[in-house]
Amino acid sequence: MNGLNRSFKGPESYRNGSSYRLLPMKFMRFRDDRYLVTSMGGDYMFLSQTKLNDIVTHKLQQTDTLYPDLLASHLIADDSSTAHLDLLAAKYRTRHSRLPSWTALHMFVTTLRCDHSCQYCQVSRVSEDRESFDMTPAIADRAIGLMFQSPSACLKVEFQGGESLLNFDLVRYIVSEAKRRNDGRQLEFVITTNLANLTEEILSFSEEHGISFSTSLDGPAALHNANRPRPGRDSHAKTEEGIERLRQRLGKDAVSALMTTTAASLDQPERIIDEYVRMGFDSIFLRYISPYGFAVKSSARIGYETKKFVDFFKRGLAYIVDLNRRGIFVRETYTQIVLQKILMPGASGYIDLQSPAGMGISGIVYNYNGEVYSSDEGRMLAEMGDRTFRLGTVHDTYEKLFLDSPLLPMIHESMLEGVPGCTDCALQPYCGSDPVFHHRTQGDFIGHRPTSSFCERNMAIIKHILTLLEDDKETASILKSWL
Amino acid sequence: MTSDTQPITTYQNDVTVLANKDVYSMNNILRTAHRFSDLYFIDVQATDGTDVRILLKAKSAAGEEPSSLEGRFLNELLDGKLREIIAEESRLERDVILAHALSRHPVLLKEYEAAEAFTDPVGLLTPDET
Ligand code: SF4
Repeated sequence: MNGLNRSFKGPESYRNGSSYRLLPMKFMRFRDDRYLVTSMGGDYMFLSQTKLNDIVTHKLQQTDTLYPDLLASHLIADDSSTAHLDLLAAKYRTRHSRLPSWTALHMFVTTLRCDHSCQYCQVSRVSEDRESFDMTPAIADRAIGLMFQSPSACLKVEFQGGESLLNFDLVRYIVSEAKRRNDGRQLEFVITTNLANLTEEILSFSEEHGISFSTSLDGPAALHNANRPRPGRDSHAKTEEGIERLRQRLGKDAVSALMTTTAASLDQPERIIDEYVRMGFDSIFLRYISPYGFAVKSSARIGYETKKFVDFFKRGLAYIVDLNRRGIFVRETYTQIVLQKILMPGASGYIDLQSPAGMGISGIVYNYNGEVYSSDEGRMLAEMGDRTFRLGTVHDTYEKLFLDSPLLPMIHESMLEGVPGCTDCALQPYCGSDPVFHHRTQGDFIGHRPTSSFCERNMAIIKHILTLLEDDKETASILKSWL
Repeated sequence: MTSDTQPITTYQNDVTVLANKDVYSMNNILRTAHRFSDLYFIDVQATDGTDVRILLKAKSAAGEEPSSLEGRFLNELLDGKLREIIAEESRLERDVILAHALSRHPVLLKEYEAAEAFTDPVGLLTPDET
């Protein structure tokens, strides 16, 4: 029960009679006779079917031991004051606090060129043709101007590719220009890179400007190199060397890593996690492969059924929990995001688990050629010929891009509160909406939840995490230590 | 069973559920049916009497036992009924919470603080005249 442990109850708890009101709540059959019930503010309780019936039909007595917890979880209210409304509204507002200050994350695709030809990426071009695939300073200037029109007090500039460092001159230009034009925002810079082209010059510049790095690490050398081919077949060695150099120069936390799960990963979650631990990372994100960057013909080779991913995820999470039990502190990032949504009041910054969808609101992409996209996935789809998520170009006004483009209808249509299936789902406060995924896999922004692999994956993972919190005290305390 | 006029292959474990219109709303029946649309093709027909007939045709031969499917559907209908009671009883509170949470300005005015929770003394829920 959501952290509420009441040994003693006040006298008011022992009054007789039932004069409570129901507050908005959602419920779902969880397993056996148990129901998961969630409030508008994201509180949750597990109840038996009989108890749920009693509550809804006003048969629950104030003397019932569950009564105070139902009040505290904002599932019922029993007095005429509006304090519960204030509290619940404050919780709901906090959960959506990213809305008024959009957009914090600004992704600049500095080039499409790349020295890797990864199995799950068809977006990049192995080409020396700078003219065709590099962003120019003129385009970057317009994009920086748009970025500073965002109302967000914090602006995070993320350099994306291709391999973003193949156009390092532009990275340097954007960092310098953004700092020069900064009107008092908190600025942060992250370079997404495969680290194969890390030079002394890049290290010095990054040290001077406090830039951090995000790289890809798919697991042990054999798996990583198979997923991420490059001339010399030394991607893993280059990545490891780059991580080491960055840590020595910029500190241990200056570099994070992301893994992508391919079919070849499915039978080796332990080896992948061990590799992260060996390289000194204290977190790993067991990430589902996105259906954007590769053609349908590749999906049979590197893709897999959602159920197989869920099994992989559960096995990996069990192994991570076991490592923690043995004194090795390492977290699984998706679990951490879900736990934050279940147990913490704040808003999640993770774009794929937001409603309204995070596209445009949490992040926006300036492509190398000046086109503006509502998300990185939308940009990848465009490289494959589907420009649905193109909002315009850097030459458009901020108002046109955000208010007079396809963005608002997309966001509006895909809000979970109105999506068939999600409207009644008790996991809604912890879940999100992913219009690009549903457009790509099911043909519209909403999709069909009963057959959506996004829904299948999230429902299985969120239910698994709730089960661990509820059934296994030792695991629950390890998971809570990740927050 | 297949036929030229019926393009969907039907299996022996297709199930027809009858739901009483006086007990279950059409909204509830349709929401419930949608939940089963992963594994079943669904046809909903009003009858002349008090029933709505819901036909569930398995999409593959590996459908579940008819009695279990029917039971699961009826249980889901019952859940839907509870959801309707909750939604009806908490509608005003839900709207006030949303108005309060998503407004840039404090919405719960002094007058409102002193009022019953399920009244709307400052007219928050009345749309502006255009
Ligand atoms: S996507 Fe699925 S799990 Fe998420 S809220 Fe909607 S129905 Fe629930």
